[in-house]
Amino acid sequence: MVSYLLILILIHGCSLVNVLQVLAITTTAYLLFVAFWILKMEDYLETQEEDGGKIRNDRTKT
Amino acid sequence: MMLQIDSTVVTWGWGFLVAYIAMILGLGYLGYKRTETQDDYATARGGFGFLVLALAYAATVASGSTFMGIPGLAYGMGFKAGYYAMIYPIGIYIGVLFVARITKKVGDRFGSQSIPDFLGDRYQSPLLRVLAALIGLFLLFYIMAQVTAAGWMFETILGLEYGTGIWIAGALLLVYLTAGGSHADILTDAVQGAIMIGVTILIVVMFATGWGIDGGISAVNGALPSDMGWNSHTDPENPTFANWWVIFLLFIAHIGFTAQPHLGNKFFAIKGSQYMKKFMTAAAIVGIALPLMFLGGVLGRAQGIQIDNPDAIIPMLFVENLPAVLAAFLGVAILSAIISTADGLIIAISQIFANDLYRKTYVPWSGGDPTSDRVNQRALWISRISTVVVTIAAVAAVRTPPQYLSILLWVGIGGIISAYSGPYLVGTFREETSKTAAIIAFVVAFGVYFVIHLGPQFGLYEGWYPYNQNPFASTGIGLIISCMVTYIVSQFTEPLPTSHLDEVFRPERQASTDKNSDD
Repeated sequence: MVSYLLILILIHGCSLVNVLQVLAITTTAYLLFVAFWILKMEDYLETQEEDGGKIRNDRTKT
Repeated sequence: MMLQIDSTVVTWGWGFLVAYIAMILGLGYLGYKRTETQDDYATARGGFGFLVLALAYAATVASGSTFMGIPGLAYGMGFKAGYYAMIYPIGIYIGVLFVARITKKVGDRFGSQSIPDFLGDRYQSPLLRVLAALIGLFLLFYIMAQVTAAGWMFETILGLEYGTGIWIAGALLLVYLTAGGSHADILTDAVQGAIMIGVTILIVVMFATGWGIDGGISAVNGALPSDMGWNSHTDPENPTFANWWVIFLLFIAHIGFTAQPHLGNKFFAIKGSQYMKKFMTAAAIVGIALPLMFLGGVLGRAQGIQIDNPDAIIPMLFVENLPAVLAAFLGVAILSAIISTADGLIIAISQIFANDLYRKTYVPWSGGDPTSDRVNQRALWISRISTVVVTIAAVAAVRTPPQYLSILLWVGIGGIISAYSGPYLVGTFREETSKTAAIIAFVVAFGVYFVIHLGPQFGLYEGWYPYNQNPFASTGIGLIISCMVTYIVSQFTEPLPTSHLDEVFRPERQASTDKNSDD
């Protein structure tokens, strides 16, 4: 349903969908983003912070 | 404006108000028992689980605006008001995802008690702390707006004069906040958040079933004038919905909303960083649900309810459609939504005086130790006294609702978002962000916001930015400038010392380094 609406928007702009449908799409996209962030990005950022410090310390040594 | 309210609603309203007061007094007392130190008062550090905090956070975000202003907008503009109602929480909770973990981690590590304090600690900059604290004082206008909304609610549901209602609201806030500080704030907000979810579900059900109109949602749409219907997406005449670009800027502006001191300080209260993911998930879901209240404004318009003040459409919808007892209960629930935002704001301002300006600025400047017991006890007293002073000042200032309240409100909100966003957001993701870049971005972005929005709004000169009347579109530009300046200036200036960055981002490693050097 959501992907169908998304295709409609991509092809025809917003003229073929109503406000509630646009909001349904944006809310779904938002919830997917939240899920992605919680499941993937949080751990990735923590690892990055650790690595960032390690790389800087290595640079300082050389 | 004095509305004609059924006397049964008023009677039930008083009953529920008394029950509500008893509840918040009880929770205030509970908060008082848990408040022993200045840190307890300021942050309730580590005091709450993820669900309580998520409800409290969502309740604080969903101010009187979500339950009065936005449904009022929908009553006046129809479905397109949903672009504000549903896009702003998306911005805010994406902002929460970006900053919550680091704010909690660094705040606990340094004992930061507010967002200005956090920025000062993150960048080792007393100047940035003071600048952020001074701009944060503009939140007083935000409190004034909430107190005004509370006054209108007292008038609408209880038939009280506006002037009496604002003093009752102020007294309510004073009683539990002075004693219980952040603990009382979060406890009461969590309960209020749970009630607000119930109200929202009711509104969604009423809308989905086309309450009072035969034919369901389609009939609701059909009953609206065509320019308010769901096929009308934008309105060139309205600065907020003029086109898709300004709607996008509305989203961008709200990413920085979480930097507001009364929201950012909530992150310190979660029990531990390990609960942060659960908190973020729960807050993101509750937060996107509450603004569905806009559907009540649409339904009210479709039902043809006639009202002078559109902001009162939700209480009037209840009064017109539901039994008196339910209408009265829901009216008091909306009042609780307003109170739940005002209390967080008051605590945030009290911390500007007690922590940011006194404990972390004046005490070190005068050669004292900001961590000493004497200083902490004195800061606790300053917190309580400034809570009283700020509340009374806010109520006194809106005895006659100020003409420029909405403009003044956005001096605080837009100014804080513009100024804080670069140092706060960019500094979260880029360790290399320099102190100089943070300070320059802070000043430049506030200046840009002033030039494009505040100057024209105060009538100082003609606005040249095409959307200068729209605070969201102006704040969005302020946020973008703030982030860009922070990033670019950091490329050419000295980063903070590695030892400090380790302490901020890798406290475990810093601790082991300290241990080795001691050995």
